[in-house]
Amino acid sequence: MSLLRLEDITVAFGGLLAVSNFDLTVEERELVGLIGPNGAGKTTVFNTITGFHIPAKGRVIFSNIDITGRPTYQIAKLGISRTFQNIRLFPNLTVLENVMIAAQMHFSIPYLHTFLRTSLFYKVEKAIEEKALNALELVGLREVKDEIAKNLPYGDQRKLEIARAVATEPRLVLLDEPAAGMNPKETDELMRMIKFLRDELDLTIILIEHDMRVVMNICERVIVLNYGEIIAEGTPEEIKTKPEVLEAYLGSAAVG
Amino acid sequence: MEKIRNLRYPLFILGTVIIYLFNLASPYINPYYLQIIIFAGINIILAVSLNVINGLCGQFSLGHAGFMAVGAYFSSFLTFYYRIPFLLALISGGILAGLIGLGVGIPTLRLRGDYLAIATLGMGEIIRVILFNLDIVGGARGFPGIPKYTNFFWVYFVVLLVLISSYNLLKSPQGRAILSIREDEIASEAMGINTTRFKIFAFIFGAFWAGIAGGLWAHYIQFLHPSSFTFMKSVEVLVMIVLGGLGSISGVAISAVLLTFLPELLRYVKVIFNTTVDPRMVIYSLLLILTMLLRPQGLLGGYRRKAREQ
Repeated sequence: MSLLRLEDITVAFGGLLAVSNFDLTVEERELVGLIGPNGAGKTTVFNTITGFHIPAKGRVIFSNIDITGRPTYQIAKLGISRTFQNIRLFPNLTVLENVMIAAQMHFSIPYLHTFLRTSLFYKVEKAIEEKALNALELVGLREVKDEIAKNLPYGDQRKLEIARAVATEPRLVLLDEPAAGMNPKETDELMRMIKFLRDELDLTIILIEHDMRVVMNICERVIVLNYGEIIAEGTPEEIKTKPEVLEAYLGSAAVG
Repeated sequence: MEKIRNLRYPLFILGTVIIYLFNLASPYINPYYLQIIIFAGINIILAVSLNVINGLCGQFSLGHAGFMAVGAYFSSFLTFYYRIPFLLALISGGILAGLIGLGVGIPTLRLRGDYLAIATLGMGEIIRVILFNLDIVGGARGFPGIPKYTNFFWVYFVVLLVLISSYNLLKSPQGRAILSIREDEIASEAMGINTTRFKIFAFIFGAFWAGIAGGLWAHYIQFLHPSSFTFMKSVEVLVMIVLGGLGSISGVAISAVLLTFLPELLRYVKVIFNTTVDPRMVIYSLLLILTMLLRPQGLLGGYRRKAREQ
């Protein structure tokens, strides 16, 4: 049984077809790369999976549940978590608070306990904090937990977004250009981290990335999008040599 | 922190007792001073509750005077016509204001920023115009003869409650959810937060306490008129929270006190300089402008941030 299935998805913005007749099946514990030139519709695919866009046509099936058109927060609760291309942290909150907001997803505490500060409240709050700290440990940001998120260096902000995505205990993580703005050393670290998430936490990961080193090194399957359609699909080695891919990236002259 | 946690209930009782003792002393205070102190308390309740909507949740509401009016009129209606016990009438006024907050919140909270401000402003005006035409509460003639139940104890007991409940809300899962809406609504949704639900909660919370504040005010000045609840009243509260530092509970409470005392203190300017014109409101406005120029983040806004960075 596949974890995620997109069936014949079409997303239109006015007359523009951002994504058309898109099919995708992702198995449990897969690490899939989604690449393509700017404007190819990669982020639109993510936004459709997470419910920010409602497709004009087609269905999104996640672990046998049809989630098409469901509100974003419900989709998150079912186990799909994401990061954003243009980092979206909670900038004025601390690093720990950022992750706690994600970690509290599966906890619920009635308002009465919150206002009366019962012992149950402190128990739940502590459990949330511990879970958040574990997620921070994972990305190596535990030491800066009291820092204000917007004061972190760029690379750390990206890591914080990953920690936040993981803290919701998802089954599927969508990473939107996680390596953007990172130096080569940080990128190496990031690749190790993504592999760890898959191998040790058994997460399924789809990532959008322009850094081909990342895509070629860690993805098992790569899907190439252009003008909202899949133009190629296969292992990184297969993709590298396909003329359609080279054409999309470099223009037809380069292919000859 | 651990110690405060274990002492939280005894501290609350201690606070209540202290307020009660002050209340016993209140007949010996100059009535003019006492009135300013009571108004300061009511303004704290208004400002701290509006801060939950505007400062913590980031939803720009200009309807606070409307919620205050609902609480003021409804609780006075209950005590005047039905002799309902004061506490019960106060709570009923708060609940009705909260319900109206719910009714207004559901359709309007999908609006953002300026649009929400205009919608809530309209809501406040609707409430005022309805009251203007509601004969049972005096309409345009006003509503006289409200029993004087409000005293120092009730006002500052409610101040204690609104401060504790706001602080407890802020430092909780629900509070973080509310803050995350202010910080980035899209990311908040993606983290599984039902943003609509929390926005409406913040709105109801603010409206409830504004209603209570209205009830306290009505039972102190004993006369209500719709013209007391114009949009200027909402702006007055808005000035308090912006000056105090949006989001900072302590800053907002302090600024509510300062802005209640300041216009009164400025009355002496005329006496000291022996002028024929009263420069009170000019100085008041200049002080507001200066504060915003020198401390755009508000008196205590950003305080916590700085303390942590050092």
